[in-house]
Amino acid sequence: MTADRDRVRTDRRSFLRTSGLAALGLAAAPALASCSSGDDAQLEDDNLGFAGIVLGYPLAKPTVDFTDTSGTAFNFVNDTKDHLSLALFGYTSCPDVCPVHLNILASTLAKLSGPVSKTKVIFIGVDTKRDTPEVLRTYLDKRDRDFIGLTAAPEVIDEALKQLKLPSVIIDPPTTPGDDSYVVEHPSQILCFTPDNECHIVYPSGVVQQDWTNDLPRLMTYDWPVTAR
Amino acid sequence: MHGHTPLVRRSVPLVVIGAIAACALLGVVGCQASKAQITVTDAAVPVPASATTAAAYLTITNTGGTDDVLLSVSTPRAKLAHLHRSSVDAEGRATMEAVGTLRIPADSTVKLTPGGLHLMLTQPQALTKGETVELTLTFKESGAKKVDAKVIDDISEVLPS
Repeated sequence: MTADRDRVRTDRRSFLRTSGLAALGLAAAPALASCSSGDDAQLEDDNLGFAGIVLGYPLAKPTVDFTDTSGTAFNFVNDTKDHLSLALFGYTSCPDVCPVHLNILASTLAKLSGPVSKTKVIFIGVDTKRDTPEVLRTYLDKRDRDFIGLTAAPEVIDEALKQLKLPSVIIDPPTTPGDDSYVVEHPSQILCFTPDNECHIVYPSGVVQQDWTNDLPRLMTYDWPVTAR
Repeated sequence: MHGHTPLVRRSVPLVVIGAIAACALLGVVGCQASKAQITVTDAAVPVPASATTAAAYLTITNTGGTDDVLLSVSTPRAKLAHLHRSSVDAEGRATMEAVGTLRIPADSTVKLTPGGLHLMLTQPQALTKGETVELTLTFKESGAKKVDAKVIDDISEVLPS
């Protein structure tokens, strides 16, 4: 793991860097907030009553070419237009973080009603070697048949991560003798694109169902202040 | 002689205090010498969506006076079982690493919960809600402890409260 950690330290593609809140999985916000020109301290502390972290400036939707699990081209901008959409990057062999996120989101949406129950959940598979569209579809169907699975070439995923200011993916070599499985280090955050087609808020790993139940209806209609990018 | 009486009287409580102190000391020594007492409870395996991995969560309690160490894990329902720890690095990247052994300090509880320590089951058999998965946890002092993990479909049952 030491070599991998070194790679993490030397990877300059992402600027989501912070220290203190990282242990709580709150890595995204302070660094993003620090890129804004205004009241950083206020933004860092004031998440407007949401369980996620309100960004100092909104992020635009990625403009790369994804493919969904049916093999159809997926244009993030057009195909999520005006919808509340949650996007996460992960891999199906992830035993802990990814299934926990998806399980919680599926349970939350199943208990909501009305338009908010149609929130789009978009899982972007970063383990392109193992996670074929078929594998992704089978995996997501076990949680919610409406969950969207996307694939793309590794370099396309890298570009999407770069546009979204998320940390890059690191594929670890297998470590256990007799076991060729490997760990994929991937962004733990869930990005929330609100109906104004911007990402104003990022949810760290560890958000629980009650948080989503509280936040998603508010996010449907929340009137975000216009902020310069 | 009269003047000695208070001393004599005082000597009785001193003896009592001494006896209490000695008992307390013995008690402490006794605690240190008492064996690790391990129980494994609340074991659960969320229905895996993946064919390649599943996770098991549980609580290990040591009510004894000696530390114990979890050395290994096994199950007949998966190819391999390992202790892992998920964490989030400084950039918000989810990472995971194998944990060789896990110390269970005397008189303490260690919980394996989502997003942290967990047992990773590689290539699990098909698992359906309601069935059980036998796990064997081998401890340095307490030996093998078997526990039946319940297969669940609601992850909130194992999330830290």
